[in-house]
Amino acid sequence: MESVVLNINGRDRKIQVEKNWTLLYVLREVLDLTGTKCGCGTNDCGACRVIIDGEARNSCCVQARRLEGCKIETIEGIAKGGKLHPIQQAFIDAGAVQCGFCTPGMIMSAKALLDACPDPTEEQIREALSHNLCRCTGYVKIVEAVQLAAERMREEQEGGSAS
Amino acid sequence: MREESSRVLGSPVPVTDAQMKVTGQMKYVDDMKLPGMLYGKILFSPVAHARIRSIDTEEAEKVEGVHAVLCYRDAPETRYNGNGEDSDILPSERVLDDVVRYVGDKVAAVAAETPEAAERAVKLIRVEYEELPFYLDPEEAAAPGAYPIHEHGNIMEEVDLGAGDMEEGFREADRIFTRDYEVPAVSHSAMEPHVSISQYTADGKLTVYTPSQDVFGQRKNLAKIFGLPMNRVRVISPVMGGGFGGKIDLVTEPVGALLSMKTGRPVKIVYRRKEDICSGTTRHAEKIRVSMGVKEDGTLTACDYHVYLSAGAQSGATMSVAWAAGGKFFKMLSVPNLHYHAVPAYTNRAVAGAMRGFGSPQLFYALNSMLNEMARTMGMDLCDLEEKNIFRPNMCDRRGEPLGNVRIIDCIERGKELFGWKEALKEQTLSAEENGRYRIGVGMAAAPHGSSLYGIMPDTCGVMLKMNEDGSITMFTGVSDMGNGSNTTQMMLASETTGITMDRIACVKTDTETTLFDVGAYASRGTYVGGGAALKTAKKMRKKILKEASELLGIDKKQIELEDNRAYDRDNRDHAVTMRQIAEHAHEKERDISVSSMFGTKAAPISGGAHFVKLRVDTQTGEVAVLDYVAVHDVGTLLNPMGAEGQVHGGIMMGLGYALSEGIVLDEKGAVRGTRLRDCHLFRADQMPKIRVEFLDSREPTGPHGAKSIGECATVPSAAAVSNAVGNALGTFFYSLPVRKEDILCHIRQS
Repeated sequence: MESVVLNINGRDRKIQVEKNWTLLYVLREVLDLTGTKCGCGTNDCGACRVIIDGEARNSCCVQARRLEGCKIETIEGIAKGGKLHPIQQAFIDAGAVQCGFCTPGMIMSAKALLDACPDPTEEQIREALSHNLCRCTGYVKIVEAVQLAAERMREEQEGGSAS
Repeated sequence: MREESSRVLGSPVPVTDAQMKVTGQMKYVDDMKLPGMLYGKILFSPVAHARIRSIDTEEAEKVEGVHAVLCYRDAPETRYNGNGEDSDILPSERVLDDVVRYVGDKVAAVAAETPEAAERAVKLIRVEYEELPFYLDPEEAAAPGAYPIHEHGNIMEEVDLGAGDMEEGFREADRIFTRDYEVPAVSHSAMEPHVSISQYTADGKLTVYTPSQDVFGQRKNLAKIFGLPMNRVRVISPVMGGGFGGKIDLVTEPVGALLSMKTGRPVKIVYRRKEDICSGTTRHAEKIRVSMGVKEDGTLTACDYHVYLSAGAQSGATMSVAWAAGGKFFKMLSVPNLHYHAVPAYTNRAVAGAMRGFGSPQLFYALNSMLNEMARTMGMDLCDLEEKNIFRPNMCDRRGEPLGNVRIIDCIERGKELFGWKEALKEQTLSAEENGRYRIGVGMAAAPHGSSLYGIMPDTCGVMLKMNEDGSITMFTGVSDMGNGSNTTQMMLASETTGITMDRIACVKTDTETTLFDVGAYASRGTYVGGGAALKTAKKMRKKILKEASELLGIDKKQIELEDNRAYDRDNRDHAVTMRQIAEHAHEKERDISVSSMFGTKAAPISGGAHFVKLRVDTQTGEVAVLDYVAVHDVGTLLNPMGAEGQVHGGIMMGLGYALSEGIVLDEKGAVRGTRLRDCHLFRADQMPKIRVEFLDSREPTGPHGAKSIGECATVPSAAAVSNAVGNALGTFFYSLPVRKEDILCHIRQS
């Protein structure tokens, strides 16, 4: 065991980890942050996607002990003050949620994209989501949700800077 | 945000648990931990067929933290069929057996305090196998003299159905086409792998938390296996991370239950993805021979269909799949002379079971492929050929079964328009003439699907509604929602009927202890049967609400409207009472506004759809880019457009995979080649085409507010449309799925 401090959703969490513990294992089994799902454990499905220093990554394939000093965002951290993040709200409104198992990972992929690129093309959205598998939706309404979220976030931004 | 209104039918409503899912707060079974919980691990067979000569668990038992190591010696003798619908048919499976029947079959199981300890222990179990002959191909398994996989032989029960006179039909034909088709087993690949938590307690009660499409079927089976009365077995499905048929049968539950009984502790078993792929159920691999007789004008005179189904190692849903596909065989083609013969045979492969379409994706792949070949060979338009030979609305099939308001023909007509069929065909011809690197191909296919299990077994569903003291209500339903929105649709029907808004309806679901019986998520019955049950119960509640409102308002019941949590005089909207007042009034009068009813269908109306696809084949790389996709469906009245569209989109994604990339490949010893999720080759967001979906303006008189099914029909025609398009692009025909780029290149090199 070694001690690391992980910054998760803006809070420092000091924990003891084994060498081979993945971030996914730490989130789910140590910190009870079970919003991040395990769909494969082999870097294939994106259900475990989180954002590490602004980049969407599969937490099943990252060793927790290497992440000291990184900013880690998970699905539990993106709603602020009891209000859903615009991407979360857009996923609901667009009907992008069916079974919901891929949803947290999808939302994190979408957030990393929109944080970096507020006005993406459909192609960019599909490329950003291509690391996430979904067996329910054919991705149609998920892509629409990201477009809807982007639009709302831009409006919010413009509204905010105008006032 | 939408204003809440109880007039919800026909408007887009997201699944009602979406808030829980987008925040990560939804607790799937693998997110749950019970106090004292142990972790179960299974030792899986490395050989395709063997008798266990000896099994030594001593070293495994010594691992620190291990509480139990179990094998066939510890398991009940009872044999079961893990499929709820077929639970009384050919029970072949034991919780743990002394014979293993496929690579991935369960051999032994460990419960330990940590997953790591369980895994260490599993590796220390020593097993000696006496290997037996094995069969991966159903035709070989069914051959006379084949070594029996089960005592009762390898052929389960042949199905033979017919109408008309086959000899006469083929005599009348100007041409006869006979072709062999082959389709692979497919992994459901729900994003949530198989998982369960079982807890056996001192009161002799077994509680199982599992994402299940059929909690009542599982309860029946678990009660039988462990000799418990049903009131001592509670199966709860809190939420399902995708099902698609794969979560109907028992998978991890019997082993988990046995481990819990032996240890007195709750036991969680979660399959790794590799285990899910190798040891979960699959869609049936099949070998199909079709013969069709046709006149020069395109009128079909006869269709003879012969299929070998690879059942895998246990009976499961195979007999029902063989029967159901047999029924569907008669539901589209109006051909007078029809014959269906199925040989379901055990094979040494993972158990085949229900998967979206239940035999129909295979059936309508073969039939539509042959129609495509026939049309091209005879110089006919495929749509014309299909339209000439399929049923019109409100007819009976050739065996006298009513089809309901079946409108596949209108789906084809509308699809042609929307897709631009004629123009697309021209594009295909032009591309062939140009003979360049890229070839455009277009394809189409049509298919029917039922809306319930009626005709096969009594299709029943019970729903309870309880009004709370503030006039909000709670619905109790056994209907399993895989994420497809069945419970949402039920709540919409309850809302529209009682006038209580969706935000004031809660849902308690799929818990055998608190909800009434439901058959399970089979047969695309969520809307037609689950919705029918919710509507029936809501109508009862409406009556009770009207009685209270009539007393409070002092007017006749007929004069009262229920809407937006109020009851009001239709001639004076201000003369109104709230649902809270109604609840309070009932309470004062010692009356309870809670109702329940059991609903059973009296019909299985046929839904239908037609899919159209345009794609581009790269003749240098074999790669296929799907460019355009149109799906037109008849679902009766569209209750929730958002949900129905989502079903079709997902069905197409699954159909594209079935056509072009998915399919389980085994090595010569029966082991799965490629055990990671990437090896399942599911379509990703950047590979999907533009999809346009439309629904007919339609109504099924027997359905709740005129609705019928969509879930399975959404995927049934897809693979044929796509593989036909690839064949048409290259001026050839493909006879097996999937049509991978290697197959395309192979074809190009050969020609």
